Amino acid sequence: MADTYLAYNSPEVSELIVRCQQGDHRAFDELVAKYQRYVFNLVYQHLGEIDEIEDVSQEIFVRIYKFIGKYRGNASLESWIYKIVLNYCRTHARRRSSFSRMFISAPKQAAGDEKSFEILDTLPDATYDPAKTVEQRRLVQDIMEAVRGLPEIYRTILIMREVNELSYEEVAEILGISIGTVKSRISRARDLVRQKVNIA
Amino acid sequence: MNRLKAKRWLNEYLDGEIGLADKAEFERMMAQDPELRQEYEQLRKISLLMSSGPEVEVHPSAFRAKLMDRIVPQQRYNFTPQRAFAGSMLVALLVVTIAFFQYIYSRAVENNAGNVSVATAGLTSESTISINASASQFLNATLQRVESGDSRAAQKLVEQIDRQAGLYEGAFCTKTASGNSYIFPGGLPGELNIRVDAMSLGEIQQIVSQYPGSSVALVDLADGSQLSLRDYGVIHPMGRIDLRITFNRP
Repeated sequence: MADTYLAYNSPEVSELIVRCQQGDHRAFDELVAKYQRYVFNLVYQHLGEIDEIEDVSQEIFVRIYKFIGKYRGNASLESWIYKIVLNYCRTHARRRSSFSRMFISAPKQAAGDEKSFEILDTLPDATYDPAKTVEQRRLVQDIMEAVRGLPEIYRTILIMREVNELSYEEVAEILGISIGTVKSRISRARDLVRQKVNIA
Repeated sequence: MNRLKAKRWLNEYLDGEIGLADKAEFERMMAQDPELRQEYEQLRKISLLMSSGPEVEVHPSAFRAKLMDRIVPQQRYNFTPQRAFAGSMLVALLVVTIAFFQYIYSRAVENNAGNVSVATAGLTSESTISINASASQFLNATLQRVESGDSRAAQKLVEQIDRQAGLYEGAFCTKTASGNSYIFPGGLPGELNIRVDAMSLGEIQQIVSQYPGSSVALVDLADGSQLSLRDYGVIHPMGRIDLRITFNRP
């Protein structure tokens, strides 16, 4: 049965999928261990709300648990999970009706509230020049502000491409659109960001 | 047209998705078009900075533990009224089943106690033994067999005789050279009618063998057939028999 999933997944992941579909809780725990970082990052990138990352990720994994039996192996498990993340984030965002803190909001961890994750600043700091580092941080902030202000169809596709580094084919598969549409939307999204951000 | 093509190639070039032939031509175009070159540099910088944004690092087990606590009880131990009802019905069924088997068992025990075994149910088994001894000798013999050792059968025979005929009431023991001897001051009958089980029959046979000249009748079964006393005990080990014991000596 694991052979069904080998077209898009490694043998190890295929085996894990089968065990999860058979209701093996230990296998699902292994799946969570394997993909929790992936899901947390996607949620953070698409939702941008640090305070909600853990709760939203938990809801997403509950959905994965419920629907893993419906995974048919027509795409990789990562793509399948990505779709669930996007769908949930869209629904959640509509409920929240505001993306005002996307990407750049400072953690607002309450005292005594233990989180299962932390945000790591991975900004390149190769220059050893504090002034340049500050400038870079400001630039990142401006870019993220600009991305945050994009219409949803451009914001999502730009994050998929620039942050998650998905190929045109992967983006097209996940969003259910043609590669031509992917290319045109990415091009348009980049233009919009470039027009908003002052980059020398 | 060239501008549109340049725009498409620019994005494909940034994404590493441009073909080799197109790539060479696009690089020639950039070399000749400073504006295109600047646009490329700006987009490349945006791309670089976006991809170097903050990342989330998840603690290895904390999140999983919380999640599995939520998922596993949902599936295994979720308490619902339907499950509570099903559980109580199961307990009730178990209680009824136990009670039923207890009833069956008690009936079986009762039947055995009522002198009717499964094998002899419906049969009236009767027999007669003529002992060439007095009733006093016979009763002394039963008591001496009880005293002589650990014969549970002898003890049982004495209990059956005492319960049904009351012959041991008021008896007292005297010491003699050959052992204890029992005196029955109330007097004893010439015959004894008791219902005994197969084990007690064996005891009676042992006593009868001490007195030459005694005779044992066959056991009459309700279907007209007859069995020796020994065979009856073997074939119907749980059976009971109405026994008439006559004493040939006063």
